[in-house]
Amino acid sequence: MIEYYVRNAVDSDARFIAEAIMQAEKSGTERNGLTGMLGMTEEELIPTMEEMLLSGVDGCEFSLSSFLVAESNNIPIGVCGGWLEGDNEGNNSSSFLKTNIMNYYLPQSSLDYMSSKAKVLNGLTFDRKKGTYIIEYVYTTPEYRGMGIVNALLEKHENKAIGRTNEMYIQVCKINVSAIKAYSKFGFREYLSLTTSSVEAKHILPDVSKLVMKKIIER
Amino acid sequence: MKREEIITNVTSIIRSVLKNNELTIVDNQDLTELENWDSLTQVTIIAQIEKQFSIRFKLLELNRLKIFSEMISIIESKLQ
Repeated sequence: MIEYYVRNAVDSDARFIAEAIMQAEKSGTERNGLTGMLGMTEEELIPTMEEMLLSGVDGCEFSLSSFLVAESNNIPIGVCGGWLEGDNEGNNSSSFLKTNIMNYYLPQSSLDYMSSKAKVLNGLTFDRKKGTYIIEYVYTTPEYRGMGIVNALLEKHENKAIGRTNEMYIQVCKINVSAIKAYSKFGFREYLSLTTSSVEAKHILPDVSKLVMKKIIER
Repeated sequence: MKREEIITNVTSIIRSVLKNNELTIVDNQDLTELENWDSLTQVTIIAQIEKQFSIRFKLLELNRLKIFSEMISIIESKLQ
């Protein structure tokens, strides 16, 4: 077994997290849902994502402060985002904050492209409840998989959630069977099944269906 | 530009993007709670406001655009 520890993300992790987000967006497929929706390549989006993560805005999936990093021998080997919904300056929803970050950093052409593809997401939207703990973008470098790193990252997020909420949510593509298995092992259970009605979605997203999974925090 | 004029123009943009010509927006309205408001309509509304008034919001300003009266005040301050 390797030795690793989990810590809060720092500025120098931004590039690794940006790259991890790209991998997480693919859910083990070749299709990156985020770049597909924005009409950008990963090479174009990664440096912008790095800037977005360094924006200093807290409370959403593009906030550096949401992320935990697993590190081994001074190398980041895994990440996981998580935050208490609405618990930020202004009590804004993560959706509002994320959209503002995108609005500010992405080129107008990408925002226009995203608007033109809006129907792709029809039926896939999950409204995050204020006061619940949201997990997004779980990723481990391939050579470190199967070593309990995802569990350690989720456990540290759960510890942050304890005493503040008893509900944790995570969304996952249905085709990502190994992730669903890992989340189930951690205690998440199927809460909602979502499918898009868009025919175009299968060419843009890694999957046309996803699960919202929920864990009740009992401690 | 007078505040009333800004309100009229912004209301018109929001009505148009949300496809609701009857929409009435009160000063303390949380815009994110309006029917049909989502990420994509938010992107479109902000882009149209920036174009209409020839302004560019800073990121911290964007995060304060949730309440209608505050949105109007920020636009007003940027036009002075």
